[in-house]
This record gives sequence, structure tokens and C-alpha cells, in this order.
Amino acid sequence: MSIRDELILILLVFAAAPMITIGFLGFTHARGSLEEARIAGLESTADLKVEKIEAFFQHLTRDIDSARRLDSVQENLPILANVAGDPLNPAYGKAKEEPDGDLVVIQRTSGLADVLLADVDGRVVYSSNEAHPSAHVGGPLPGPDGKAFEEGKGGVYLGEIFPSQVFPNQFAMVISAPVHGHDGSFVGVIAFQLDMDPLYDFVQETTGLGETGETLIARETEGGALFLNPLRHDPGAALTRQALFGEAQAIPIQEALQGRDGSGQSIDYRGEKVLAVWRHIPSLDWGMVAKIDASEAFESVTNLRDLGLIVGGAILLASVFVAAAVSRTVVRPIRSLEEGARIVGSGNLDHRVGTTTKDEIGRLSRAFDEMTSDLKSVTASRDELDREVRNRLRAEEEREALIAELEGKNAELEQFTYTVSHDLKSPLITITGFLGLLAQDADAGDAERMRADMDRIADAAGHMKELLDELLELSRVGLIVGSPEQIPLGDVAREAVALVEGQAAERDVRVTIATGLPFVYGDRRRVREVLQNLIENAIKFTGEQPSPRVEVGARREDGVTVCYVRDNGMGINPRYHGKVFDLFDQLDQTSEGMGLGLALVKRITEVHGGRVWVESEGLGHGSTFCFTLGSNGQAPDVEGARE
Amino acid sequence: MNGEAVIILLVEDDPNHAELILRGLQDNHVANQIHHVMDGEAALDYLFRRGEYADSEKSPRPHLILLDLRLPKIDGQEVLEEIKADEELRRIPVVVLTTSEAERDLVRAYHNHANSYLVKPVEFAQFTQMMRDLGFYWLYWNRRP
Repeated sequence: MSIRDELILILLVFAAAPMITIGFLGFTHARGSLEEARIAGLESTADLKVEKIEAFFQHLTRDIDSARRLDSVQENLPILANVAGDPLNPAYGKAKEEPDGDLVVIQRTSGLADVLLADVDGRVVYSSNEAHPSAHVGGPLPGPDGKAFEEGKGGVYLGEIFPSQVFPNQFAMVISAPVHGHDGSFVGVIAFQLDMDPLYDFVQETTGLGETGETLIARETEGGALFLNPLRHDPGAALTRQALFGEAQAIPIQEALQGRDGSGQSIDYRGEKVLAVWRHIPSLDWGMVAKIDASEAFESVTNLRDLGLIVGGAILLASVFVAAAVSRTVVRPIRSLEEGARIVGSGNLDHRVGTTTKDEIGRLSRAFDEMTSDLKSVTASRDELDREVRNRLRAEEEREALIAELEGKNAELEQFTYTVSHDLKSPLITITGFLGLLAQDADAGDAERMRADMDRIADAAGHMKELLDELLELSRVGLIVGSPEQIPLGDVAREAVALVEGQAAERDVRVTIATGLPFVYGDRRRVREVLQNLIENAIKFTGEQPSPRVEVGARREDGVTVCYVRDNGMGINPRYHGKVFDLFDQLDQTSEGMGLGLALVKRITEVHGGRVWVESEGLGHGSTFCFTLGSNGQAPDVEGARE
Repeated sequence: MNGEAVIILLVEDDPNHAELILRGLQDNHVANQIHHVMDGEAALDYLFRRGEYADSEKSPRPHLILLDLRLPKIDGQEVLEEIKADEELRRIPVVVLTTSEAERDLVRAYHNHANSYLVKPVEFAQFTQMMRDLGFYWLYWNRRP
């Protein structure tokens, strides 16, 4: 893990984690507090409304109870019942006057729509507010199923809310109670008709309930709850919308209708999450719910949370940036140090990291630079030492090569001395020996032997002279080599052949020169000497071959021109191939010459930087003497330059 | 001495020297039969009865070998080595007879089990004396197996 990643991680752990924890705790706490406060508000609203509704209906109950006992009612209801079929009858009008005096007042003071009286058959015989469109003297009491009359006969009956037959979207309710005569006989029913609008207005009052809050009432129907008032989120719900017990919606009203009071978070009739307070209204067997959407209730803390998240996110982002920035300022010098170490490691000792900061990394960088500088001076002295060692080694090698060369020369010289002493001593022994014999033969007077002895002495002396001449020639080879040049091998070969023509003719040897011979690089006179010696040698060793031939030619081998002189003579046993070029070595004592020729050839080719060797498949298969001249650091022979 | 002729193998490339040696030995009046070969190869062919010496009649076993060192084809030292490497031939005394006074030739010859090393004297008197002594020593005094 890089330093940057580590820093970011540390900042996240030590800055972000506590912040998140605190934010979460604060949020939870604020939400809890807010929920408590909200519930308290809802409870007070609900309780107040329940109390008001209860009080309202208690009041009406009390009113209707006292109204049914009014003399004007008790006495006039039977009369009204008798003449009700004829409203224009003066008796009706008279009978109506008294109850009017009481009932109109009650109607007005209690805010009722109408006060009705019905006879024993349930027929309406009186209306306190004939202006009210719903009043219809002669008809039944308003309300569903005639329950107002039937139930009202037995006692005060709080009827069910029903839709107004006259005004659309309005609701009405009837409270009924029996009327008895003074003698206790049942004479009819008194009924209060009341418009629900004012009550609903009160119930639906949303002050303090925000944008989504509301209060609602419902009553139980078969297996469910029937909403009584228009809902804030469903204005047509009154008496039409139902919630079944046990379903996952409208849970607070279900609770209230089952007689339980309570509060908390719940799900309302829309399926929304809400904060709700539910109450049972015992006198009416209604349920009431005061609620507000959770989203609104907790809006402030939600906002706070969102704000917290935004701020937290911003802080996290900032911490990442800060970590990155800090790590960059920390890492950059480390990086340049690392880079520096790599560069220095690859051999560039002039590189400097050059960090100037005063911190630990800066000090480390400067220490590294000092180390590089020291290393450079050490390396420099080491390089000098290396150079010195190399020089000495080279000098040593040169010296050893020189020594080897000198030793070689020395060995050659020793061999030379040895050979010369031997080969000069050899004829000398012959001379002294035969001189001794000559003296004996002279004493014996054997003239023939004397002559033979003298011939041998003369031969040996001639031999010595020849030997001395050749030695002189050989000693000159190293000294007399002219400046090398490009020379046509064919021309030189012809010159050489011309020099040995006599010997060739004597032994009937046919000497040929190959065509297309290249140029070679060397001293013309010496090259001719080489060819002459090799051809002479070949002629000498033709042996008993019936048609002896010698061929001069050249071939190309590994980029070097190899000149050769080939014969079809007796050939040479491979075991002598190294020996033939030794000084004075002769393979066949019966042939002429002292063997100096091949030594001369060897000497000349070596002076030219080349070499000489012999190829032969053995006795009777002829021999090929090959030599190269070598460039010896000079211009090599030219491939294209042919005759 | 028994009456049987003493057989000598002379390995000498120089015909003049060979002549001097032959005459030197003849002066001793020791009955001998000298077989002369001119180079090392011929010497080995003789001893191992190869080539023209395949017939043992032509190459009787010598009682003494006189060996020159500087020989054509096969050097005297090599010839010596081969003789002394052979179970049978190694019993034949080999006297190196050379012009070389070089220490290395001497040392190498003895290393190769030469039985004697003689340098040809330049003085005629010494040469004849040496031949005489050689004859007496190897052909008269020396007991052969």
C-alpha cells in the first residue's frame, strides 16, 4: 500500500468514522426527540377534539332530553299529529305556536338545522325551521332506514351520519328521543337534525398539522372502518371509503375502533408512513385519528441528516484531497530519491537528487548525494587502478610475447648452430678421415685408392662450400625482403619455371601453370624464390614416375589465397609432414641438395606473415606444397584483380 | 670367441662416414659381417623384417647396432626408442655413433637406453683408434647373450 493510500485510510478512519458515528447518534436522538414532540402535539390535538365532540354530543343529548320533556311539546304533539294533514287549519297554526317558542330557540342556540316532531306513526308533524329545504312535514324523519324514529322511541338515539338529500357533498345527522304525554303515554318522537359541516370543519381543522397532517373520524361497519368525514387526501371519502380490519393500511383507525388509544409511527389509509395518535370516542363508538406524514414530521431532522451527509461527504472528499496533497509533498522527495537511487544504480554517478527540504527525507537525500559523490571518487580511483592494472597486464603480455619470440628465435638459433656444427662437422670428418686413409694408401702405393680418397675429399669440400653459400643466403632472407606489392602470381610462376627449365628437361618433367591466377601481395623476388624452390623440390622427388608432372596453381580458402605446387611424384609419408621444412633435413639421401630449400621457403613465407605446409595422401600419391603470404597488415590480395 | 661371424647393423646416412667406419672396423681383423642401411626407416624395416627385409635370410639378427642420430625419414632417437621398446630387440647393444656433441642428444640417447654414446672424432688418428677399440670391446671382450 502506498503512503498516499495509507494517509487517506488514516484520515478516513480518524476523521470520517467519528463524524459518521456522531452524525448518526445525533440524527437518531433528534429524530427521537422530534417524534416525541410531534406525538405530544398530535395527542393534544386529538384529545381536544375528542373532548369537544364528546361535549358537543353530550350537550345535544342533554338538550334533546330536556326538549322532549317540554310541556309545549308534550301537549301539542298529539294536537299537531291530529291536524298535521291540514297545515292551513287554524288549529295547526295554534298548536304550533307554543312549541315554536321553545324549539326555534333551541334550534338556533344549539346550531341545529331543524328540530322535528313526529307522531306515533313516525310522520313528521312539525319543523322548527320550515325554511330549511329538508323539512318536509308529512314525510318520515330523515336519515337511513327510518332508524331515527324506531330507535328514538326507546330513548335518546344518536343516529348515523348520512348524506344530505338536499345539498350535495353535505352530511347530516339526526338525534332522536321519545316524547311522552303527561300520563306517560307515547305521543311521538322529537328529532334534532344537524348539519355535519360545522363539526367537520372543526374535526378537519388542520392548524398545527402542517402540510400533510389531518384529523379524521370513522365508525365501525361490518368488518371494517367507515370514514365519516372528507379526508384531506381523499375529499370524497366520507361514508364511502372503508378500511377492512386486519389489512396493512389505515392501521391507527383500526386500533381506535377496537377501543384502544395509542400513538406512534404507523401506516395510514394511503399506505404512507405517518406519526399518528388514535383515540376511541366511547359515546359515539367512533374512532378518531390525528396524524401527520412521517416525511413531514421528520423533515427538519431529515434535512439536517441530508445536510450532515453533504457536509460529511465534503469533508471526506476534502480529507482525500488533503491526504493526496500531503502524500504528494511527502512522496515527491521520496520518489525523486528512489529515481536517483535507480539512476545512480545504473551507473550514472553524476546524478544528484538535490532535495533541499529540512525534514528527514531531505537529510536522507543529501546523505545519499554525499554517498554518490564519495562513490564516484572511489570509483574514479578504482577506474584509474583498473587502467593501471590493464596497462601493466598489457605490458606483461607484450613482454611475454617478446620473451616467447626471443625464446623462439633463440631455439631457432640454437637449432641453427647445432645443425651447422653437425653438418659442417660431418664433411670435415670425411675430409680428415680420407686424408688419413690417403696417407695410408700412399704408403701402400695404391694409386687407385688414393684417387678415390681424393675424390671423396674434394666432394666433401665442395659440399662444405655449398653449405656455406646456402647458410649465407638463408641468413640474408630476414634482412633482404623488398617492399611488398601486388604481383601477378602467373607472371612470377612463369619466371620461376624458366629458372628450373634445365632441371625439368633433364628429368623429363612437365611443368604447367594454371590459368586465371590471382594477384598476391609480397616481395616479387622472394615469392619467385619460393616458387622456384618448391618446383625444384618437386622435380627432385618425381621418383620413378613414368610421366612426371608438376603444376603451379592457387585456390581460395577461408578468404585467403593459397598458392600451391603439386607433383605426381613419390609423395610423403604423413609422419614426415612436419619434418620436411626443418633445416638441412633430407628425406632421401639419394636425392641432391641439402634440404635448405624448404627451410628457405618456410623462412620467406613466415617473413611475409604467411605459412607453408605439405599435403600428401602418402607414398606414391604425389605431394602438394601449399603456402600463403598473409597480408601482414598490408593490403590484402584483390579478388577481382586476376590476370 | 667362437668362430661364428659377428653381425653388425650400421645405420649411417653419410656414405663417406659409412666408408670410414667400415674400413676402421675391418682393420681389427675381427670376423664380422656389416649390414649398412642409410636411414631410420630402413633400419627399423631391417630389424622388424619388413618390406625388402621381410626375408630373414636378408636380415639376420645383428649382435651390435651402430646408430647415427641425424637420419632422414626417421630420426636416430626414434629408432632407438623403438628398438628398446621391443622385448626381443632391446637385448641387442646399441652404440650411438654421431657427430653431435650436443648435451640434449646425449641425455636423450641414454634416456632411451642407449648402451654407449660415441662422438665421431675429427682427428683421423682418434677416429681409427676409436674404431679399433670399439671393435675390440664389443666384438671381443664383451660377452653376448
